[in-house]
Formats: sequence, C-alpha cells, structure tokens
Amino acid sequence: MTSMERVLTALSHKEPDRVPLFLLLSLHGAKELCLSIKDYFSRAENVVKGQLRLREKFQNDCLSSFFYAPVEIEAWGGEVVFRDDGPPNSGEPFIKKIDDIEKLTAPSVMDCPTLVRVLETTRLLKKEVKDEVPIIGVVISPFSIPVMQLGFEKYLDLMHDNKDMFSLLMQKNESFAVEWANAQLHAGATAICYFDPVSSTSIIPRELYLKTGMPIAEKTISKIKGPTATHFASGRCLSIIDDVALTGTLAIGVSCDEDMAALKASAREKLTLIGNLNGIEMRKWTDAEVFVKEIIEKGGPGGGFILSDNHGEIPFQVSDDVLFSISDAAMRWGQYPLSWVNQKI
Amino acid sequence: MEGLSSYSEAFYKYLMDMNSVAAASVIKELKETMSYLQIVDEIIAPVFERIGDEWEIGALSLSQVYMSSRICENLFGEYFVDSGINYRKSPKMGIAVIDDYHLLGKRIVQMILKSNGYLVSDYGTQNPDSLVEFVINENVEILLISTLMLPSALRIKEVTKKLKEKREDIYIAVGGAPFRFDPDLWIEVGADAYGNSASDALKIVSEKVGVEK
Repeated sequence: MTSMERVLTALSHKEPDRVPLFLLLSLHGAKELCLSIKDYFSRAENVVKGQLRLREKFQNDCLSSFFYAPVEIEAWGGEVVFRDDGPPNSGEPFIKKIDDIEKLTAPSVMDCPTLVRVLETTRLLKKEVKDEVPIIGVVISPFSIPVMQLGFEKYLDLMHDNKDMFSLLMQKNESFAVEWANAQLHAGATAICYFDPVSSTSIIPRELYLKTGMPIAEKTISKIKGPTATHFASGRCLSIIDDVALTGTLAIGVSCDEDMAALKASAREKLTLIGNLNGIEMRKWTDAEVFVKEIIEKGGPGGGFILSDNHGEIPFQVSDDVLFSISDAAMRWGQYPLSWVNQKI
Repeated sequence: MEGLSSYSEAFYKYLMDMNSVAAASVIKELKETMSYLQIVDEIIAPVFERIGDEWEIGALSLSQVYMSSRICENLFGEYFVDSGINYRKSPKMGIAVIDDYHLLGKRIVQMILKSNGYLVSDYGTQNPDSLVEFVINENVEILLISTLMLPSALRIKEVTKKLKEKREDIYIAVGGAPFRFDPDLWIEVGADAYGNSASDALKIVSEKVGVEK
C-alpha cells in the first residue's frame, strides 16, 4: 500500500496493511539540514527537503506543510519571535483594546509572504509525491487564534463578558481561516488540520463548547473544500467526541491525558483517532516500544487509528534515536491484523 | 444557612455558576461573624483546593478555574483591601513567565494567591538573565515560574542554577503544561517544588510561609 492508501483505509474505519504513522516533525527538518529554525523556514525548498528526508528516514506516512502556529499571526500584522531551541512563538498580542476588533480587517492570504511560502512548500511537496503521500496543511480555528491575537486572559473575558464583540471577532477570523484552508488545498494539501485547542474540555466546559467552538467549527469546516482533522493540542476531548463528530471533521487528535481505549470506544466508526504518544516525556525515552505497543493495542483494532504524538508537533528536543525507536516499534507491532493483540484476548 | 460546609458548598456552586453577586453575598454574610483570615482559611482556600483537584482529573476546565479566580480576586479587593485589611505577612514573593507571552497560568496563580491574602509581585515575561537580576535586586525569597512551552521550561535550569549560586535560601516553584506532562521535569530544572494546578501554588506558598491548612 502507498501511504495514501494506508491512511485512506484507516480513515474509512477499516484495517490497512499496518497502522499509519504520523510523526509530526515541523522543526526537525532544521536539524536535518543543519540550519537554524529561522533559516529553515526562510525558504520553501528547505522545508520540502526536510520533510522528504524525514519521511524516508522514519517511514512517516504523511508530509506536513505546517511551519509554525504564529505564521497566521504574521498575516494579521502580529509579531513572531524565533528561537533556536523550539517553535517560533507569537509576540505580544496585537489587539490591545477590545474596541480595536471593530477596525480589524481579515488579511488576504496572498498579501503575506510567509503564507505564500507555505503554499509554495505545499505545491513543491505535491509535485514530488503526487497522490502517494497525504500532505497535511494546518489552519488555526477562528475560535482558538484569539489566544494569540488578544492574549488568553482578555480572550476569556471577551468570551464571557462581551458576546457582540466575540461574535464579530469570530466572523472576521472565520473568513480568514476559510480562505487560508482552501488556498492550501488548492496548492495541493490533501487535508487540513483544524487546530482548535480552546475547544478542548481542558480549556472550556462542554456547555460552553456547544455554544461557541462547536457551531464555529461546523460553520468553518462546512466551507473548507476538503477533508479535515481536528486537533486539540494535548487537550482533553473524550466528553465531546460525539459533538466533534457532528462538525463534519473526519479525525481527531487526542491527548495522552485520556485513555486511548476509552477514546476508541467512544469514537469507533465516527472519528479516526490520531495520537497519543506523550511528546514531552518522549525526549527521555530510551525505548519507545512499550508506549507504542500499548497505544496500538488500544487504538489499532478495526482501523480508524493513526499513531502520532499527542500535541500535533514533536518537540525539537526529541532525538533521532527516540524517533527511530517509535518508527521501528510501529513497523514491528502495527502490522494488521494485529495478531498479537488478538492472541492476548 | 447553617454550618461552614453549607457556606463552602454554596460558595463553590456560585463560582461554578459564575454568579459573582451570589458569591459576594456569602462573603458578606460570613464577614459578620468571621475575620478575613478565617474566611480565607475556612472557605476560600478549601474551595480552591477542590477546584484544583477537579481540574487535575478533568472534571473542570481552565476557563472555570480562571473565572472562579477572577471573581475571588474582585471579592478580595472589595471586601478586604478596600476596607484596609492588609495582605498576610509573608516573605517577598514574585511570579514570572519565561520567554513567551502565554500569561494565563501566571495570572490565575496570582489571582488565587491574592484572594487568599498573599501579595505576589508580577515580573511579567522575562528571559533567564533578566529574571535572575529582578529576583536579586528585589530580594525575592519565593519565586514562582510559569511556562507553557517545553524549551522555556528547560531554560528554568539557567535561572535556578544562577540564583542558587547567589542565594542559597531562594525557594523556586514551577508550574505549567510541560510539568504536567513530565512529572520529573521540575527536578531536572532544579526547582524546589512543582504545582500541578494553580491551586497547588496556594498549598506550596502556604506550607512555605508556615500557614496550617
């Protein structure tokens, strides 16, 4: 099977030849090419080279055109702070006063050089792999990006205290998110990761999600002209799995904070699970096999499962040795029909 | 209402309902027969301990912890500070974030500590060198550091090393997402304590200051 066939089979809740492996390595390409993180992202060709090398090295079943989360904040006119040891971060929030929301104009994708570079990365990856490997683009949900636009505290205050301005901000964010997602699909992305950590029950209770994150997701995802996977960036989601399934998304990135067996029982035939290796502890693992086996045992049977980390980005500090260990264990223990699991039962 | 447990239960419920008016009515009623410190120790601190425990197991969300803290901070300001009752006597305390602008965790810790009568100086976002300088210049004795990102958490090691070389008695507590997902990380970075939730910060400070819970 090609990686594409493998992933599509898993997404259809059937068992492919083996458990698909998504090592979401946004930053490791810089190490691979001996570049600083800033220099790595300065050229589309660097990211393409990095992604292709990493896929070959670790038998990854996807490629990612994702650069870093605040790439969208750049488009809005905000600041990006680069560092040598981790993902670029957003600077000080650029919406200083709530009233500024009225004057805010959603940026146009083609006016932002970095977004254009992401599109170029996508095009080049597509040219290389055609339809053999899924290319994952990322968009931050209209509901989650205000954490970087406003700051988390001000955003929670807005959400609770000022419904009109909250709705206005959501409208503006939605129009950008849809344009950005569709631009990536047009450039060759196979699917879009709808990155929505604020919708997680780690951040807001289900009752609030049903009134905010969920309808926003439904509306935004309905306008995205391709398949989506929703990721909660290590946030919990077990109690909202049925709700997330109604947004139109096909898959869900799940946290190591929740048991894969419980997640699988809840999501079976509704959503494909992506996860849930602990990316923070991972850097200290000497042998990933025990962790990979446990997750495959709980999530793998019946398909509808893709092995990955729980945050959507493996930390820069995780060594190649650990990544090889994960990949080797996935190859060894992920061959369907997972006879070793059936034998245990 | 009879008995402190019913006040505590009511106060908790009003915080969860985000009903600041009803929460205030509980405090107002208790103020007639209890001192400020008694209310904090008997009602507010245990309620935050419960909130922290429930957040840790996933029964509550971060926004509920934040809104509860916000209500209590306002109540503290209205009923205690404005009435001239001072903060508790405690060693000089400071709180900071390293290397990023995700400030919510720090803010929640500050609000909870303030609601319980502890004054904490806010040093905002610092890099390791500037934070060390602040702490030395301000004679901080208890330093709380919050981080969201793993690289920032790892840089705390620079802070603890430099500070402990200059001041052996400095007490450093850390918290934030990386510490939740790697329970040994606080030891690795040389901290003296670690809080799994913002409410843990209250326990840590109270124990350090010597207040019985």
